[in-house]
Amino acid sequence: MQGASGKEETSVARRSSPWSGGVAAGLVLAAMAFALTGFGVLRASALKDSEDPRFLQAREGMVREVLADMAATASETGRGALSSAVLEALRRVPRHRFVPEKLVDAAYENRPLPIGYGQTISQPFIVALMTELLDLPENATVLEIGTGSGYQAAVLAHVAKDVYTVEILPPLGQSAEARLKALGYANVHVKIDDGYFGWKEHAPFDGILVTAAAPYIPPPLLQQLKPEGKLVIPVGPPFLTQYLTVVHKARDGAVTTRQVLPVAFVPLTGRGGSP
Amino acid sequence: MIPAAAVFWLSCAAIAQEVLLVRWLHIVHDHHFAFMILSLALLGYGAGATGLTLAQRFLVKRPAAVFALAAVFLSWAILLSAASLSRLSFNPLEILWDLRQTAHLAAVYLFLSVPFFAAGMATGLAFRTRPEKIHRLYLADLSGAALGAALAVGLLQTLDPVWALRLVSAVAALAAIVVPAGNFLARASLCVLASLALQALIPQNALMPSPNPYKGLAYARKIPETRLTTERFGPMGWVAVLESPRVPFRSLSGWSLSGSAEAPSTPLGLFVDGAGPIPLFSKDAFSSDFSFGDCLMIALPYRLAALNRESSHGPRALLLGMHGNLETVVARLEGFALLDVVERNAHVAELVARLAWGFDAKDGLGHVRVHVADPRRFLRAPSPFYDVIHPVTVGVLSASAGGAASLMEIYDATVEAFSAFLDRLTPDGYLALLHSLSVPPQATLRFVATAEEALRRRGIGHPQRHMAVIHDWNTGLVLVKKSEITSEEQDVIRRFAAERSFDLAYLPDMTQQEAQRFHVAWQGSLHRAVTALLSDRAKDFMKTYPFSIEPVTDNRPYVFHFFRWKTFRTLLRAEHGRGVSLLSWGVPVLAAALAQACAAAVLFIAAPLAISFKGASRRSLKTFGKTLAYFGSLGLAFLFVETAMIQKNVFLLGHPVYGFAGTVGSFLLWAGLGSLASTGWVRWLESARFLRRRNILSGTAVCAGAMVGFYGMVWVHLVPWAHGLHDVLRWAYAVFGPAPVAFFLGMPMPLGLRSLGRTDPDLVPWAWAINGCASVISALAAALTAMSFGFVAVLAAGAALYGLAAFSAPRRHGSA
Repeated sequence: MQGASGKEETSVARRSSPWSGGVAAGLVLAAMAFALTGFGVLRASALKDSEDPRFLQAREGMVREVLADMAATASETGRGALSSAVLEALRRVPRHRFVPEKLVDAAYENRPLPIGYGQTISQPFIVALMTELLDLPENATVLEIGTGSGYQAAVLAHVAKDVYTVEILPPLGQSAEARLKALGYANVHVKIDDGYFGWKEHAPFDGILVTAAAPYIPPPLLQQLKPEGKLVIPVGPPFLTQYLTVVHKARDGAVTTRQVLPVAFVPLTGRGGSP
Repeated sequence: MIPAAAVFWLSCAAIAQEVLLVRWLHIVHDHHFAFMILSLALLGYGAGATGLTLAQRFLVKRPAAVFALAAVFLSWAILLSAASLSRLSFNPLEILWDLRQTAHLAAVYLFLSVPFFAAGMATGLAFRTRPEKIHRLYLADLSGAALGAALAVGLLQTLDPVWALRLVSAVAALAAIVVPAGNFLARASLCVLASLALQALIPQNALMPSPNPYKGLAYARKIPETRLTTERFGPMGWVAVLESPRVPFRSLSGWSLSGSAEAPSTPLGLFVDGAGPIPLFSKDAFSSDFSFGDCLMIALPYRLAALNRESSHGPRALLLGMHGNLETVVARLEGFALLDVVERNAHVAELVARLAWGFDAKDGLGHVRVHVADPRRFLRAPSPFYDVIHPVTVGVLSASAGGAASLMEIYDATVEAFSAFLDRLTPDGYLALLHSLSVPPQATLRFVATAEEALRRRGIGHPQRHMAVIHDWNTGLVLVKKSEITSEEQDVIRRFAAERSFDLAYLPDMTQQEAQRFHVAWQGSLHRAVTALLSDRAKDFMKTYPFSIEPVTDNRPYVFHFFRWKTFRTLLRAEHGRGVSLLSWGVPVLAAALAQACAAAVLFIAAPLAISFKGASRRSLKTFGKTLAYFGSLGLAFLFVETAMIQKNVFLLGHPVYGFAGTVGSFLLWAGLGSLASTGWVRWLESARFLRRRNILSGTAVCAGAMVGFYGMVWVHLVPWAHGLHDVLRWAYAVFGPAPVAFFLGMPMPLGLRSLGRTDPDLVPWAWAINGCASVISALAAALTAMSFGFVAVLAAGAALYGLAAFSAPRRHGSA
């Protein structure tokens, strides 16, 4: 039950030039990003104020915390460290631009933050882990359900060729779109619509991220997932991710899932006591 | 002079507001946070009495005027605190991350405790200024509270909640009017005008509670074109129906990941206290031949029951709880000709049956009967045997096992409940428990352990041959059969699961290799855990498991209470406290509330000692110590006993609202009559020479403790028997049964206050403050005790506390 009027598809790339800071600066930054990430093309430009030493330092501190979390939860997540692409993405995305003005000082704390409309921007560790768990191939196309502030989409923009993100709430979707545009994320495409249906026109996707905890996985999303693709979905109330589910679609279309605990949990041992 | 009538109306307004506040808080926040906030707000009583203690030198000079002012202030505060509640930006979900939330929480406490502050101070003033009439004033206080509880429930049943609140505010003003001081007409006019002025100034929508932004209703309303189409208010909750034509609602728990069918959707969603949505499907949501059995996990018990359709009548199912109409539709499309649906909340039953498809006999799919009743009571009445029993509500609550449901008493998933379900099953029938999975597994194991105990109590030697468990990535289904699950049935379960990409977690003849073909659980735990739980080493397994998964009984019906302190400490060590996301929050929230209450109590009790009584060298430390111990024990003991009796009546009367109103209303009234009779009781004791004069207070407290310890225990143990009585007798047992206990519990407090009024009148407000603080601590401690040890232990602790009161009672009593 989806009205045509409900779709407000927009593409930042189609509307304007991504190089808001000037073509020359953009090219320089593109070259740097290319060198750093090892990907074929630059998918996002850098930002003027991302170079503010105050934020750079805070961001580096956040990255250190995320890496510590990754190491601490290695036995639960199976990932002791971040891939260089995800690590670089965390280092480059100016998280302070994705949080409400009054929370800018807390932007680089390793915790979720409220962004209004009953939504949150996920904890950086969870953002990093979910991105990592996608195991994206080179030049990947990714679908995100639940744009929110756009931070997760921005991180994905550094590790994928194209990011398609769907937001159900118009005010959130519109502000995320404007923000991503202002930051020069040309490879992020925002649509305001019911995320249940995914984004059929750009399917299939190498990976799908469902950023808000949902009690079910919409069947259309599985249909839009490429063979050997992964879908990652968190489970738990807002502000408290209990576990992540990684859905894998095999070449023959068979779907399997795996629970990933983003918490170091050593079960109390005893005679038959471990779960 | 402050008349008893004024105390009566003041108390009536304060308690009615407390009950309304429970509703308000449940709409704004989840159950466990609502519980904590209300408990702490009630400390306002103690704070008010402390304020009186500190300022009594000035306040006792014109008690009537002060009382009248306090009553008018209460009438204002009732409205203002409600208006502020949903506007304070406290987000309990964020409290682990953001210290500023604790400041917001403190603001919430402050705003909500103001009305209770006024009530506590005014009542204490009455006691302080009329010590010789304390037994009457205490009667007025308790009976006013009894009426307030009943009034609030009645108002919620009949009125818009905002009008209910306005009326309660007016009742507070009435307390000011009946105080005889000066010109009656002038004073009455002033009070009425003062009350009306604020009533007129606060608009209707400012008093309407709104769910916090993280509740389903608040979120759904932000979706474009969504509108509220219907709403019902009642003591059981606020039921609202939203229409969202642009983004429809869906319900896909247990939906096969291998299914390609389009999931049904609907523009109508139902919310209870802001939680939801519960989709209400119309007939257009799917074709009449839609095969839910190919997609939904819950179709399995119906498929299994179909194997044994030998009876002349068609297959029958019983659904306990109405979570929309999906379960009803599935059962009917699976060929179940007779369906009984039992729902406690009349408004939910009415709206679902009216707005959703599947309840009309004219559709040719058989017969659906909707019963507004308590499921346990329904099963007591003569009813047919069923092929499938599905406790829907229990499964739905499992989704919030870590939060809102963790403190709830749920009598539909105890050993006794499962036994009752098994009694109503046909020999080949199935009890089906569809629920949300947690990591590590908790609810699944609790259900399995409880079902196993229920089967054992029926004399079944091998309960493990009567159970099956399947699951997907986030939903589990526990099946319990009265007779053994046959090989043929096991094959059906295997096929059903394999074809839909569901996994087997347990079958009587299952091998390890059959587990986790599609869904790999964390540490591969579910199959191993269920198998261990159904093996000979079950006791060891439960003992050493990180979470509490033991069977639950009617004595301790906390179905989703999995908390263990050892695990809590382990998980707290996780970076950023993220580990607590794996815990059920009930106990930590209760413990935090208890710690806050204790800290506040120390402050309120110690402040007068440090300020007002600093130079009172005449009194020994013993006087202060005895006063503190006596009135503190009484405050603790009374609420322990009342809590245990409320909970038993919740079970007996079938719903928390009835249990609360039925118990509090009658219990306080009986206690008030005990207070009234206390002077006669003392005279009788004196004339009969049972006790020496100086031991009369102790003796009375001992009698109260003995009544709790003996009569109260007998009453509690006979509750299961009374549950089967006719409605009139059941209500009589609930209302009149606790009378002897309550009657004796009403005596020690007024006798103690009167004794104090004779010897140390300025300590009366302090004693009232001690009692007020102890009552709050008691409510929280009783809940924690009940969760750990059960209601019988709560009652026993109450009896013991009366013993402590007897030990610390003053040696002089207040005989006339």
